[in-house]
Amino acid sequence: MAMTRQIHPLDKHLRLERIPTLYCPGCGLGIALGALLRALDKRISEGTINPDKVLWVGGIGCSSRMVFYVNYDAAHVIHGRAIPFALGAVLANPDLLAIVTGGDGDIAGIGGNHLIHAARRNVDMIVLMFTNFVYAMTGGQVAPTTPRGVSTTTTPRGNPEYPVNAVKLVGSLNANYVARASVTTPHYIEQFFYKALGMRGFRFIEIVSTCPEIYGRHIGLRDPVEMYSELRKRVKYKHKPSLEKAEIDWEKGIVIGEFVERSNPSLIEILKGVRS
Amino acid sequence: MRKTFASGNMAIAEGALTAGLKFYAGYPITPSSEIMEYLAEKLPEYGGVLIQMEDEIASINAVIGASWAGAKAMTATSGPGFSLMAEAIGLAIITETPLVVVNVMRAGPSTGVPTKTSQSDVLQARWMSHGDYIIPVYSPWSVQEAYDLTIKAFNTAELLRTPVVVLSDAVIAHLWEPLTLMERGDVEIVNRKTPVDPTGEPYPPYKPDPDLVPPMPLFGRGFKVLVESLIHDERGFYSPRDDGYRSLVKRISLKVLKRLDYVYEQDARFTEDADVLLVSYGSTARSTYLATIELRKQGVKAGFLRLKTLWPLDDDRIRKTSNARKIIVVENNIGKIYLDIDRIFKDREVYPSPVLSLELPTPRDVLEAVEPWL
Amino acid sequence: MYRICLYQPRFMLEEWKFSLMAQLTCLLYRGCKYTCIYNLYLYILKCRLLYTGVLGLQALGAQSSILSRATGKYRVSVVIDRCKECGICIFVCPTKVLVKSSVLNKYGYHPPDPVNIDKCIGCRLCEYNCPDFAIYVEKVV
Repeated sequence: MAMTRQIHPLDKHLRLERIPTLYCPGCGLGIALGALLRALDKRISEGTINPDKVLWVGGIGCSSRMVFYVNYDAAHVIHGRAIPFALGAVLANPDLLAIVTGGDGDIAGIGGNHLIHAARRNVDMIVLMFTNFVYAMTGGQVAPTTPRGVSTTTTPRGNPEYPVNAVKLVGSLNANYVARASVTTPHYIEQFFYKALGMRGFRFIEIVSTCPEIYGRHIGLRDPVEMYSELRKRVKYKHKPSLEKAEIDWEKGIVIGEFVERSNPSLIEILKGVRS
Repeated sequence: MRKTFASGNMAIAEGALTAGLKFYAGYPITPSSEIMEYLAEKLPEYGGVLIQMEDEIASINAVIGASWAGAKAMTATSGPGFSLMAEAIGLAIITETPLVVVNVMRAGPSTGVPTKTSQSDVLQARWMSHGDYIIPVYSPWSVQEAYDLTIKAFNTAELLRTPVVVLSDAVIAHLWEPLTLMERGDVEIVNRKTPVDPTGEPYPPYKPDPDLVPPMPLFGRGFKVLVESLIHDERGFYSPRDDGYRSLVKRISLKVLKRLDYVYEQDARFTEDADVLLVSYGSTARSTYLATIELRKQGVKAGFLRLKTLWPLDDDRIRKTSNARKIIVVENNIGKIYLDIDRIFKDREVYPSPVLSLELPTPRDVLEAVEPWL
Repeated sequence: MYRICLYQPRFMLEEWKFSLMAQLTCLLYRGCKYTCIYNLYLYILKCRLLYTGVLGLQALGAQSSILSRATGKYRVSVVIDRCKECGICIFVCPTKVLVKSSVLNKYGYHPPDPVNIDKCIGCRLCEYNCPDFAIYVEKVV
């Protein structure tokens, strides 16, 4: 293995033997990963987070493969089951800080049941759901978040189904922090993640991402810059909006911001008897 | 040591506690729910955590995560839940996670008869997940053995870094018998090998020692662990190459086979001069044993072989058990272990005697099933 | 102290043949780039010219090659082999510092070149929006 030098400021958070990433040119996941690592870097240099206790867990999919690239304890488990895996690890060792990364299919599709119950329990973990509106790794099949009418490989005549709004779903449960950001605004990803790192309980951030190779192909935006710029036009930041305003619609606009922020007792706090 | 009176489910729970259980995640299903209920009371007193999850899939994934965080972990279920756990057991196998899964068998297929017994999952326990592997499967026949084999299951899991299945059934689960509980010093408890100190470089979690079992780095200690469900090399990086794939898949099986002497156990009685050998396991073996004694009274030279470990089987040891001409396999399913016994005793006459019975088959049922072959 | 084209040592020109004039000429005409039959990128090690806007290419092994330009205030560095030519950094830069270069990296992509470095305001939008950890901005002290 060649000794790779640390050049980029974030290189100490990366497993450099696996860089460059397998992500397509213009994939929003890389932008988001950079923002997440900057926030983590800030927390570590402040001393509020011990890097040995950070655990990244991913299921299956491009977003879940982020765990390959981070220089921390990581787990690449089976499709949709990252949340229960992280839950087991955190309950067995409450010092761990679990960060679950997954796509919209992994977390809200096959993992939907686990998402609901982890949010209900307010268990201590951060769940990052990267929404690109399609199952990209397997070639572009319809996903729970695909808008109506979009043609995908398994809905060639247009998607007849309505999509799920994960932010509204999780917000209606007992989560401590629910936010949405977009890769066109990496500063917000960093800010929201930085705030989530300092909280307890269930924290959920949906990150709307560009996927020029697969979803872009379905909606006619193959060029990374075109897809980035179209997404940027539709993203609207609102300051602490309410859940009713949490629209995620390619026509009407994608609202980003922090929808829910509270400090309900988390599962570990209740089990330890710290708060009831 | 303490003597008490307990049911099979309680014995399994107590066995886990003696072995050092610290995390349990489960889902209620008849006839295994009492294990979780008993542990819900007792496990926090031992410093452990119990959580009822939203389904069996969440349960098995949670115990895998907990095992990597350092806790000895277990889950218990029955047929329908066991089928749901198939994919995740494959995850535990390829990531080499020490784990105990208890399947309290009930009549199937599908919802079946939740409150009645069967032994129909014996082959599923071996091969339920896709891919190539060997995992140990234990089958107790009494409450005391449920306790002892659960401790052994934990020891095997920690020693070989593999998930282990304990196959109880609805009869053993709710049977009450005297039970001798061990204290910590009375019985050997094995803990997983862990690497000594982190050096700052990522530790390869799948680099085997000479005994083919790698030391297990745990989360949260600075080892920069990578738990990987894809076929991986020693560091845990995805490696879709023939040489790495072959060596990994073979090692997963070989590490168990290498310790066959430790894993395989059987109980043979009256076999020195036997003409007919009755082979059985689990709760059905209780009746088969009484049937053997009855046959001896009737003048038939019957022997009795009970398998405590249903997989992997020590073919040589089974063959050497007896020189009986006829071997009859008695089990509460359509004839599954019969296939193995037939293969092992190639040169003798092997007959199946499936005794499908929702309640424990009586010795009379066994005798009636065995009679035509004598 | 110059070396050209790390991949093809036989095209290397011995270090002692370079004089200061050769250094200047090298930067101005980039003759080796046009003559290299493999059309591979070229590296010039530790360019010591001190005027602003100088092109500095550091070659310390293929994975770590950096293309950087600096003004008195900011230095923009591109890690050549990580770039996947998505074009986002060029698009988001508010003062149009970056331009797609004709350098070909190891994977066949053209990384950006901060030619208009004197317009750089240090906003770091390129660094924040790069998906591949391939560009970063430093304050020049």
